[in-house]
Amino acid sequence: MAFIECKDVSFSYGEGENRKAAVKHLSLSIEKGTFTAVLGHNGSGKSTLAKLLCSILLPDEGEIFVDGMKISDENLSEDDLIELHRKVGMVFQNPDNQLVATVVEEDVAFGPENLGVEPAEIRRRVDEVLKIMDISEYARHSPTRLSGGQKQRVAVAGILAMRPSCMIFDEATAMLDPQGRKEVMETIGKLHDEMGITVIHITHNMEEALEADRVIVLNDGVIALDGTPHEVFSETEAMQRMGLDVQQPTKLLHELRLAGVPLDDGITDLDACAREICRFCAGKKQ
Amino acid sequence: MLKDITLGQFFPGNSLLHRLDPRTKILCSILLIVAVFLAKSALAYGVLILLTAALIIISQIPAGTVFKALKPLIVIIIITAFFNMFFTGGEEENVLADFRIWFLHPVIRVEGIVSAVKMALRIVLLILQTSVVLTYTTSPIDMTDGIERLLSPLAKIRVPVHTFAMMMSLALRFIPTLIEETDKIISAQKSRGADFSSGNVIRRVKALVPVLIPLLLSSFRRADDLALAMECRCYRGGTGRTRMKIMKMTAKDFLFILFCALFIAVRFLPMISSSALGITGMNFSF
Amino acid sequence: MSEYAIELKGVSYTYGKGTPFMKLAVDHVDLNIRRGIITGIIGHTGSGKSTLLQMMNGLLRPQEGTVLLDGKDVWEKPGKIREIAFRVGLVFQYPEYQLFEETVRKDVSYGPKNMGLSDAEIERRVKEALAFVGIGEELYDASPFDLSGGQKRRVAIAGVIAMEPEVLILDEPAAGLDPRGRAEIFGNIVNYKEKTGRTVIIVSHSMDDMARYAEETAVLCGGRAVMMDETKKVFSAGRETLEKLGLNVPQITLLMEKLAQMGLPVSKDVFTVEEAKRELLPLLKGGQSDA
Repeated sequence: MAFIECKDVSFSYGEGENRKAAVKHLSLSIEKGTFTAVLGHNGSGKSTLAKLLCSILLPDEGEIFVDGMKISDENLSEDDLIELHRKVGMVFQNPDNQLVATVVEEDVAFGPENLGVEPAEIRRRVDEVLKIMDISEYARHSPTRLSGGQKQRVAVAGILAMRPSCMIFDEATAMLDPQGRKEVMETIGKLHDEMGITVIHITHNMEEALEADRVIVLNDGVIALDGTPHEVFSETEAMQRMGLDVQQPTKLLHELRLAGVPLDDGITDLDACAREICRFCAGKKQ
Repeated sequence: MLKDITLGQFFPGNSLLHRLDPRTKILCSILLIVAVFLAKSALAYGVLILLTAALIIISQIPAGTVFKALKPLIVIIIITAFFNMFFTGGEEENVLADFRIWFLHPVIRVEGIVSAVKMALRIVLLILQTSVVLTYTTSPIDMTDGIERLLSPLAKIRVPVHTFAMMMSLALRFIPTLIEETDKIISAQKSRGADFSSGNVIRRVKALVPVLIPLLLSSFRRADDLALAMECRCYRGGTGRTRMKIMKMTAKDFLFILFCALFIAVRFLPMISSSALGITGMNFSF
Repeated sequence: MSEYAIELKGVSYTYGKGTPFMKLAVDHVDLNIRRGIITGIIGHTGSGKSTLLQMMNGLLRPQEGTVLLDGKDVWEKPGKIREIAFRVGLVFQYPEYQLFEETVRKDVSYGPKNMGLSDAEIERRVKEALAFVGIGEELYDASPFDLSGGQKRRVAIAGVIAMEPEVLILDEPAAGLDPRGRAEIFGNIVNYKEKTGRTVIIVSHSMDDMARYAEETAVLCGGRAVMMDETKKVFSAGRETLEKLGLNVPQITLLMEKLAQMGLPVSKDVFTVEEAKRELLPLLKGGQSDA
């Protein structure tokens, strides 16, 4: 069984007339150690999916398994829930609203403290993750004086200290400036490439999604596209129809094609785009 | 504007007072408060003044900064002294001045002046000691930790000590964030022509509605986000929770407590409490 | 009437003067905002953007230098500074967090009401402002808190537009929105400028946005205005500076540079997909007809 397994999962908000389906009969499996980006416009159900995956919400229908444990169960014991949250960490959108302590290292220690880890071991872990996240110099600072990107790295460190095997970034870059986004993306790269952590990155920024192994596009509560970044972003029209964008070079090729130039569609890499245009020009001259 | 309050502020440093266990400092503050209230003789006051001066020097905090703590309370000190001056009873032959204003008949006696000076001195000593020993040299988080651990025996009789301490430290964490947010909302509403400084009281209070409502809503939103983030970081109250920082009372802590306790003991040593000036036995009350 | 809507002459602002937290936010900035166009201000977090904006609408008084609105010093009569806020409308970042009234209509009328306008005039302005941001009449009596994120943002912007300011300043108007929401907001702003002919200033981190919407762009760094010119010129002359400032050059520009390197006769100063298409089509199609 894959690390995360959703089987025919549905979820609706509200009651009676106002009932609104957010996720509809969604089936999905995510393998251990992969980096998946979940794209979708606001209201596409992507944040609901994140909440379902760590049992903040319980599905109305269907089953969800994480690392073999059935988490879509109303009677999940408190200990199981704690174990799930230890294993699957969440980084949220607003960097200010997820830090609990007035000192960075105290905040990082919060998770392990809740798990009842021995003080000396907590100290060791805190020092270690601060170093990995490159924020050791701010260990004694107050989080309020850090930049958005730094705050998000503190949040990641706080989860890393619980030794998770999966991390979900729920629009964690949406409120950041370009510098902060870059910091978070580098962090994700580190978690995935060097530490082998399963990463699920929920975003509406396609450039960030490009860095993933796999891109899932949610639209109206169902999976509209699922594949490698290349496969997904070559669906230029489908993406635009869903209120999403594709990166500019891909868009240019698509527009040129629409204007009657028979270029290869569906190229996502900048260099490959340049080569394709050059190839076409060279072909003309001969 | 909201940022200029020094009373209750923490000044980082590395003096003996900074390094003491917060529990020691809380206990000693209590002891010193008791000592101030028990002091009756001029000699006792003299000793307490010397002690306070010594504490200020040990704390390595500039005297100017320390005395700033008195600024917001100066009116209270003056009013207290004023009332003590007129409303302390005493012997007729000690009358220094006798006013007749309309039907009032205030009289100043020697006792009144002595009492006013003592009262003012008391308040000043209380503020200086508690701010130097406790608030200036103890970070807010150490303080809450100290309070939590001192009160921890009460948890056995179901007093929610941990919840209380967690609430306090979260409040400390979010105060700067909310101050910043308030400033931002005020600026935004001013840009829409809000006028906070003219008109009568009712108009001014009404002018605050556009600030208070967004502030309240945002606080609720933050509280929601925070609760979710804490749950995801395996928080389930105080049970089974460990702490990274181990608080350990060392020899210097015990010595300091012993030293402070001596000042109360002094009260009971007859040779010191019997006054050289012969103004014992007077009762003062707040 | 001056050629410029707003002129900044050597303005400086330092926060917390005389405390250990002293911070020079704006350092002798000269900046002229041309009338009737969209001007972009670009710079990373902490470059002094917000401080600069608040000096433009009279919320902050420059400690040095002067701010001219239509050629007149805005601080000439400090008692009347509130009127400057009506003439230079400032939309803060995440303006939806400042909504407070029970209905959309009431919230948008807050500004005009503070201006002391008649009820009929307020009604007219509210309608017009909401039309600019694409909020239909069916939502006038809805609670602003029941709207979607993008709608809230647009109602908040309407609240400033309804004051009919000579200059409309928007600080990161599309922050946190998805591509569709971004396109809607920017579409609204461009349409507003076209229809009213009023001056607009957009602040953004994104060079893509600047390339697409701003006719002139100012680059801010460390509290100083390091460049100010037509957007095209700023981008082509200041490539290195911009990259050094951590601002991402549009992908399309990188692509065109690559093509030029590969020997195609294309201009390197292309910053939007539309421009690239216009540049490439004759080349690709022309080749075809020759063959």
